[in-house]
Amino acid sequence: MKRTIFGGIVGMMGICLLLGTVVWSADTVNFGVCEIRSGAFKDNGDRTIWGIEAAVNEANSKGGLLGKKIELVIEDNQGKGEIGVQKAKKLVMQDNCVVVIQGSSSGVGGAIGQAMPRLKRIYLDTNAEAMDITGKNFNPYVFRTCLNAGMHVKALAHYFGKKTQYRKVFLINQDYSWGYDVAKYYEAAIKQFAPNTQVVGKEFHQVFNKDFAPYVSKITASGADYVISGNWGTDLTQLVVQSRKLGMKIPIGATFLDDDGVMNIAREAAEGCIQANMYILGIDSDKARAFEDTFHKYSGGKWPSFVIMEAYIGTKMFIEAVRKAGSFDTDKIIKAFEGMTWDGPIGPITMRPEDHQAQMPAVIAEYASKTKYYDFPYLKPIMTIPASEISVSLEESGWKPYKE
Amino acid sequence: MELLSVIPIQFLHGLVYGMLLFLVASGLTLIFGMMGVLNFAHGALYMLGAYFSYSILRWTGQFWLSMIVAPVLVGAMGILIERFLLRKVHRFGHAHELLLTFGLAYIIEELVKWIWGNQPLHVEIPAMLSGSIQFLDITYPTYRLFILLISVAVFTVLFLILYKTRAGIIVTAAVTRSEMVNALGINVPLVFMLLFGVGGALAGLAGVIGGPYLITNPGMAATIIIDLFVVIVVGGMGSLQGALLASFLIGELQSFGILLVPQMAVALEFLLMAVVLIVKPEGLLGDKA
Repeated sequence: MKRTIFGGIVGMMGICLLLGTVVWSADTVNFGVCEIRSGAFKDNGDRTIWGIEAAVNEANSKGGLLGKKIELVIEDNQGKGEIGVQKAKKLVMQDNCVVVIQGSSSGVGGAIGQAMPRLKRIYLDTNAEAMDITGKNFNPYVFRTCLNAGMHVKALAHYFGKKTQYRKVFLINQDYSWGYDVAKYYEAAIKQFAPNTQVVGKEFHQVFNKDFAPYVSKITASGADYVISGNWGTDLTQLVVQSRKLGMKIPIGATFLDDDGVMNIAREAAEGCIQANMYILGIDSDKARAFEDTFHKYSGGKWPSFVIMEAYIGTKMFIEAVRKAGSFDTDKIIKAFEGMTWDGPIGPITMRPEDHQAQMPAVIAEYASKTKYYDFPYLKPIMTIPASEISVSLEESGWKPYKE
Repeated sequence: MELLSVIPIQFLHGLVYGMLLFLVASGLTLIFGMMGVLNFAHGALYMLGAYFSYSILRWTGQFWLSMIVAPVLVGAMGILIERFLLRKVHRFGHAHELLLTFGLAYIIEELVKWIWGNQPLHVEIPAMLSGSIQFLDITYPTYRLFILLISVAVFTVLFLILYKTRAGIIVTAAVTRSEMVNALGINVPLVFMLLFGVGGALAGLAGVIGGPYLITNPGMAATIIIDLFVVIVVGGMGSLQGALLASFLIGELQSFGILLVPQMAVALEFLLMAVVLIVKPEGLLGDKA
């Protein structure tokens, strides 16, 4: 008798749960996030997720997406491509996510991207910049909303190319695909903007290099008048800090100096450095201020810098594409996303239909001893570069049409 | 010609990194040589030194104070690890000890992230150390010279204690003839425990000094641990002079490797290790055991 009652209760609970899930899933739509949640690079994942969450909070507080509340399902890719693919599969097949978002790693992003044609869902790359993702390995399920390596360094080449005192460049980068992309595309871009530029040195060092002093002395001895580096994290901090301490005063052109974690340590040493990205805090326009304040409000008091900003913009663009499609159907979203123009904080961002690489203007920034954002020195914008100037053609990107 | 002019400064760069490496490795080699325990958590203790120093600096603003207090705290942790963990698994052999310290390294790293966060931290060093010294046409950071000074001081003190004092004789004897030393009325487990404390304190000191130089961040243990093991193998297990020589060689190999054969720079130290293992498996200055 007892057993029957117990069984009955369990059965009823089961039915309630089942119904609950059905009702719950009718009102919500899942976005999958496949980010790094453990190990040495966890911080990159945290920041990417802050950006995604802010965009989702914002959409949810304004009535959700197509009448549904967006729920984030977050999985740890452990920084490994094969695990990323596994988790992406889980996010699509088990959680029925309409999109898989990943930005921290180009390696993981490339692997997820290539798995998507089988899963028939969209991979949104919000901040991984390796060329191949929308280039050689292009497929219609992948969309990239940030700059790629080629565009990113083209912005720097534009800045240094216009200044005639800078004609000897030293390229120092991390020894993996991203570092090689930076060096290769900078050389190509500077030939275009200032053909008489001489590359006086080109080095690739291990990621998480310990001591940069030997490199700094090598740069000084090379007679370079500026440096270009795609380094991030401690590799960038160390390069900047140690070069200044060793008396090297030439500018360092960087792609990730907008990381406040880097600036917190580099501080005054970043004086004379030049930073390029798709946005930088402190743009003096109503639209940019509204962009920053909205983010601040929906992120619990953070500022849209570095990958946080990229993930925020990317997620907002995807939400916009779904709205435009009026459906969660993958094919319809792809159609709506292709060629879509989104009103970005410094100008329109257009999704190029052929390779799904967003086209956008860039901002150049320099050291600022005081800003309203952080209690340590940060950066301030000094010029914007139009989208057409930094665009990298399909051919230059190594783009190949997708074959099933 | 330009290459020639950077040779002295490149030598200095290699020397500074080598000496910091020695500071961390000295504790590791002492423990390994004398207790036969390969302490995988040694890098994590070094990292703890850096983080303790950061917190002490935040509370008191006293860098010099942190140079004393942080190593003492890390040393105390070393003692606790030996007394309550390692001693318990000692009788199961080295494999268990190795696994234990391996696990500890992970736990400490996660704890550090949990308490201090994932972000690298800004450590303010005293004004008198933060500038650069000008000699001839070379600008050299004062802090790097300070690292050099501290390492030389530590080596001298350790060397004198180990080879010129009664305490040093007991320590060395406790390793090879522990039963005999025990029979002479000396408490060998106590010697080992204190040694672990000293080893930890040395790692802690290296962390305090290394933090501002290599940036206090949760990855700092993982980046130095490989170099540490190369130092121990190349120098000879348990040899203080060997650790000094190996640290110096590795520092210079990296520095000149970057200057002359940058593609190979990372591999050079392993090449050195391979050669040493083939030619003199006990290490450059190790005892044939």
